[in-house]
Amino acid sequence: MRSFIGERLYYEIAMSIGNSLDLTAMLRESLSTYLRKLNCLAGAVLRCEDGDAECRCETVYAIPKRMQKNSFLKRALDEVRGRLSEGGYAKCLSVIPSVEAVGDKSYYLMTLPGFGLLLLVKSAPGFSEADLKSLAPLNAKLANSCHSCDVNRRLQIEIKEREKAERMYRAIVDNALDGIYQSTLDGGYIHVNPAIARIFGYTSADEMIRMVNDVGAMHYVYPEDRQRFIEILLEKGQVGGFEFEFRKTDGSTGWISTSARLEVDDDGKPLYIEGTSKDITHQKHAEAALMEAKAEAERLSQMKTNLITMVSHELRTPLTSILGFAKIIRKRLDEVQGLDLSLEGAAESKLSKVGDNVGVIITEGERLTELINNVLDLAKLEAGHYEWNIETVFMKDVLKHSLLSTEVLFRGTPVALVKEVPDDLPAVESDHDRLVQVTINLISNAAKFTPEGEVRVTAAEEDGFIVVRVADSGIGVPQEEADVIFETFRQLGNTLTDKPKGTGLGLPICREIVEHLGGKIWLESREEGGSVFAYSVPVR
Amino acid sequence: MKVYTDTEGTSGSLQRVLGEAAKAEPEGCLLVLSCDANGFTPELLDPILKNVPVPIFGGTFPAVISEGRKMTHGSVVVAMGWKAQVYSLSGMSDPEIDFEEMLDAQVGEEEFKTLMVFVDGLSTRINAFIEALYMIFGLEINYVGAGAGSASLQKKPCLITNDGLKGDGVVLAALDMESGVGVRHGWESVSRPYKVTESSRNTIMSLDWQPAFEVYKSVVEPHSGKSFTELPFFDLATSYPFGIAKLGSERVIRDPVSVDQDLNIICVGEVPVGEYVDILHGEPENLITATGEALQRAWADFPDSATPGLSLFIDCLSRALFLKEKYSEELQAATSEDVVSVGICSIGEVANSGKDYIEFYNKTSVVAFLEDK
Repeated sequence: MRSFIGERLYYEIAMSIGNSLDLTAMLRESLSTYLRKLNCLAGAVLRCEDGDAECRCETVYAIPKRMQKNSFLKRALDEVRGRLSEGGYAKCLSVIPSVEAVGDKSYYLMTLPGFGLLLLVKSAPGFSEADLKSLAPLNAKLANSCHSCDVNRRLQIEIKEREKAERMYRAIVDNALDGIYQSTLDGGYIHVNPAIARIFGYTSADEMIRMVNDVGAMHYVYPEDRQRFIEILLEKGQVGGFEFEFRKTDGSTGWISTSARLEVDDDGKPLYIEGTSKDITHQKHAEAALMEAKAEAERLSQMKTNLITMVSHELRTPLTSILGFAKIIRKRLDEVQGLDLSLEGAAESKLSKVGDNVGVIITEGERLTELINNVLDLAKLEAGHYEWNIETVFMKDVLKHSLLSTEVLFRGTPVALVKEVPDDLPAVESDHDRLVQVTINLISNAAKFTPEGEVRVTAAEEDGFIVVRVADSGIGVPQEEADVIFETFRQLGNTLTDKPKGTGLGLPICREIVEHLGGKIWLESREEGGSVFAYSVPVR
Repeated sequence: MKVYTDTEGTSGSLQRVLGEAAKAEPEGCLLVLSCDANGFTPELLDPILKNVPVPIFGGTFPAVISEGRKMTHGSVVVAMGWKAQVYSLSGMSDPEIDFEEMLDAQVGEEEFKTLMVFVDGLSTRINAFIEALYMIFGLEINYVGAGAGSASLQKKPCLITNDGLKGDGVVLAALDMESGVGVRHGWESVSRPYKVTESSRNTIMSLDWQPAFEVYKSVVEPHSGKSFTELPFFDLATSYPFGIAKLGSERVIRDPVSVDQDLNIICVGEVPVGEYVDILHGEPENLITATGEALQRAWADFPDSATPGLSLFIDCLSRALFLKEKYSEELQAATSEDVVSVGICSIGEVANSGKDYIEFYNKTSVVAFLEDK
């Protein structure tokens, strides 16, 4: 009979185990049933684990909650902890179930396999060996339930963390300014964020998912764009910056740029498309406006070039006559002055002054002619109307030609023109006449701004380029002006107070020519004063 | 301890006795045991109870025992020299209340040796409350108490507190007083065990998936030779309680008191689903012998170092009804010649001597010796 009663009690204990995945709730029911059915005074469940250094032991649930100063359970728990800290959990397991009797009470220590220990306090009569053996499978069940609760707790924590992360990502997706979507290949939407719904004119993401079953037909202004988009995805698996014109729900149109990838299954079968979309309507409008502005600017530039060409031409024609007749006048004057006319002092003086004045007309006329020629050159260069004659050019010839042309500038001056040009300079694919133009310009400038000393012209091959340097011992270029001298109409010195020595277009024209021929032009510093202008052209 | 007996059973006589008792122990507390038949109501009693200058606790019961006699009118007031921390809690039938949380929050951290527990015996969640008591305080202390109320099983205010007469609650008195408690009933099984397959708190709907009353009738009628068609349910059932088994101890009794219109059996005390119950029967001699054993156990449990000042006998009303004229023998069996004895006929008993799991008993004798100061 006792055995039968025991079986009933064990059954009821078994039924009370594992009814919750919350450890406290589960033990509240099962441990109290243990105690009630086994007529125990107190009990506790301990979680034990042997660590590297010591045994970790934690009372996860105890009945009663409040223990008085002389609590038997408290003393029993202290004793168990002492045993564990001395011998560890594994050693403790080898000697349990164990019973310790104090007066008429005993505490029983039983294993909860894989979890820890069960401690039960009981007054006499205590458990028989049969009772303890009968309890073993129940304890194993309790241990499994405790373990499940622990796993569940970790799972719940993980779920919460995942939910938190998902909320975070959801917030990023929901609050994104760009549209984010998952869609089927046939044009339905699986998931969209509010941004893309707004772009297409829907009040909510749900509405968009519900309403759109063929995005190609419903929202592409040109459905063939959708077809092309799908074809690229199927071919390459992804597409970036695909632009298409779309139609909103209210009928208005705009532009979208979308980047997407095709999600496939293990067999490579397409599953769905996921991607982002950006409304680039404003950008497109801005681009169109920019293109229009550029075309307008080019038109105006052409008009300017035409105007300059026309004006220059109209100026040059009378100027040629003025210069020609001024030169005739000077020739005549020279002829008159060559005759022995025995003119009075006043008349001779006036005749001399007329000669001077004609000289000024000729000088300024020639300067004006040069200016007009330069303006025309620059206009042609900028307009791309310059005529280039690209051929095999020997720099030695270019420099020889340039030096011969400029030798005259140095005659009768205290400035020496020095040439250092090696004979074996390689040939270049370039325009002979333009290189001569550039070189003459640099030597002429050097002559203009060098009152005395020397102008040295050198050439050398450096890193695949032929570099020509024109160094002078002249006034030099102040550092603050070094950056602007290649700009149009910029000259050294104060143009209000100094007499201009050129048009201010020579260097800009040189830069245009050199850069067109694949080289560079620059100013180098010179420690001993003066300046060094250099240009390079690529070796063939 | 000093016992004051009021045999009139009026509010005035109780007020007078309370005054005398409080004067005798101005630093102590008063245990008040009153008869339900006094007809006390909150209107009558609250002004009196609220004016008592010392902590009071107790209740109204079907009968009070004084000087070896059962009284159905009057009151017994025990003046104790011990300081008592008294807690009065309500909502004993409220399914929403977590008693463990409530106790943890409301009861202080003071150390005590004996907790006296008087609960409305007709509350529906007494077992849950007792379970919570155990969860919080365990069995390091002794528990003595009873279910208060009326033999008519009508719900009404029955708990005596300093705040007045209360119902559907519990009054706890924590005393740093030694005690010795003995619990026995003497009922024996006359059936095989049945599994409680459907129940709701104190109502059993089915046993082994059979209608509970049919199962119960099939055992009781042949055993008693009487029929439920001839006798009122209570008259026959009072001799055949249910017993819930536990290891190494007497069964815990659940007293069937009535059947509802669906023939479900209503008990005093909860009968959870999943429990196994036997149907018990008692012989008068066995019950009286058990009471004598309860006295002996209480005496054995009482510390040698302490001096008993009172013997408190808490006996289930149904035992008195079952024993009838032999009840005087039960009273005699529970009486200790050397110690002043008082008692009550209760609607359920609460007791633990620190040796067994605490329970809310039915049809059981509880004897407790309380230390004098």
